[in-house]
Amino acid sequence: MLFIWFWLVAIMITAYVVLDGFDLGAGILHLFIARTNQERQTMLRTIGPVWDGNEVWLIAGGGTLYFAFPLLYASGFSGFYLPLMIVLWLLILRGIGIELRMHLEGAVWRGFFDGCFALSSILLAIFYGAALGNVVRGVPLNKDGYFFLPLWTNWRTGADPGILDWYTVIAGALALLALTIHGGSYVAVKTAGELNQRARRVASLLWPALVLVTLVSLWATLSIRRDLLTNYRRFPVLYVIPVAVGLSLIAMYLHRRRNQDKGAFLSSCAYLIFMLVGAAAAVYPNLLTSTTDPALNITIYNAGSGSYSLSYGLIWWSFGMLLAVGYFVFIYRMFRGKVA
Amino acid sequence: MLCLPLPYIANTAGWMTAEIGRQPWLVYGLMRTTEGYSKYVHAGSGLFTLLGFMGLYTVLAILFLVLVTREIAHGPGADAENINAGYPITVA
Repeated sequence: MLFIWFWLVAIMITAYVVLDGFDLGAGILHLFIARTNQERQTMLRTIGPVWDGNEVWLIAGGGTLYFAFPLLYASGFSGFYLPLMIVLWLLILRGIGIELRMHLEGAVWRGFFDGCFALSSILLAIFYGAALGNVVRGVPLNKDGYFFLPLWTNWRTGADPGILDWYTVIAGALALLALTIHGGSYVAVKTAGELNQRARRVASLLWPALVLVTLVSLWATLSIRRDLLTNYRRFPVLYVIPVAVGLSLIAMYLHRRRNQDKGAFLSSCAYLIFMLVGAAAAVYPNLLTSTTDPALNITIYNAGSGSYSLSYGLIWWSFGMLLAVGYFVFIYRMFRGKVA
Repeated sequence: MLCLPLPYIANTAGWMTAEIGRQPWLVYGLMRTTEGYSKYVHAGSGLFTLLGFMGLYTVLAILFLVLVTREIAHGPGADAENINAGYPITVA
């Protein structure tokens, strides 16, 4: 049951990254590829009907975490207090940017909210990458299972790191790149004409950088956490996942070259999914690693809820998910096709 | 027109009644507020985020008032029956 809930949480976080990832990507590109007011409106209309629904996966993922692994939730929300609050402010800022822009005419008003939307999207992508980097690198957990991280210390990994160090900065850069391409691919699917051309160009220009930073982050991860290969050594079938990451990158390139927007976007989805699943498979069964003593790790065993709650929760989770998935199928079907 | 702020006042006052009335319990009869706060988040961090939220909400409140006042001054206008025209974004 703990195994199932570990993967349910992982799947929900992955769903969030894939879905809200293209909203963030569209936001990152907003100021760069959409130049006129008309183009910026079109850009916003591509994500308009879906962005807030996509965002709900983050809340649902957090709620599931709280239900299934309360100790991790308590520890993580205390320890990552400052960055989580900053992420919350950025999410609010993004919402304001999208929603308030339309209400008044005027270049200053619109420019300001376009700026809010773009800046918050850029910073959110970096923060999400850094957050994932922190989870993979580990945090200085104490005997009670708690920790508190300052925003930065000496930029080194090791026993006493900050939220930002050289490793998590690489993770942030990777997230920024991957989500920019993801958003560019999405905008290319949903638009026609100049906007479509520029979105395609950005996605193909950044592709070599994505390959490079993916490899750098793989090297960096293995250089600070050799033990992350343990699961892979024990179950060599897991090596399928990194291979799938590579294949997704190749598929992305081939589709991009043939100007197949849908294929390129789906390859980008696959890339994000396999990257996250690969990371989850590497850390399992640890949820949060201690940088000081492996005995203090928060694992699914010491953080999980009781087995009665977990099995009963599975029933209600399934009903909830059925509703959510039904809604998503409905809304994406309703707004399928290109935005005019 | 004068009723405009009333739902906000009622909502906030109701929330405050529930939260303040429950003290000193965090979960009534089960957990005290003194047992519930995080020992690892320092008071300075708490103050920083409190001020941040106050600033953000003040800006939002001002924006809200500006937009609502404009909307009221503008009135329903000629296209009152065609209320959705001119909204280029459909929000889910």
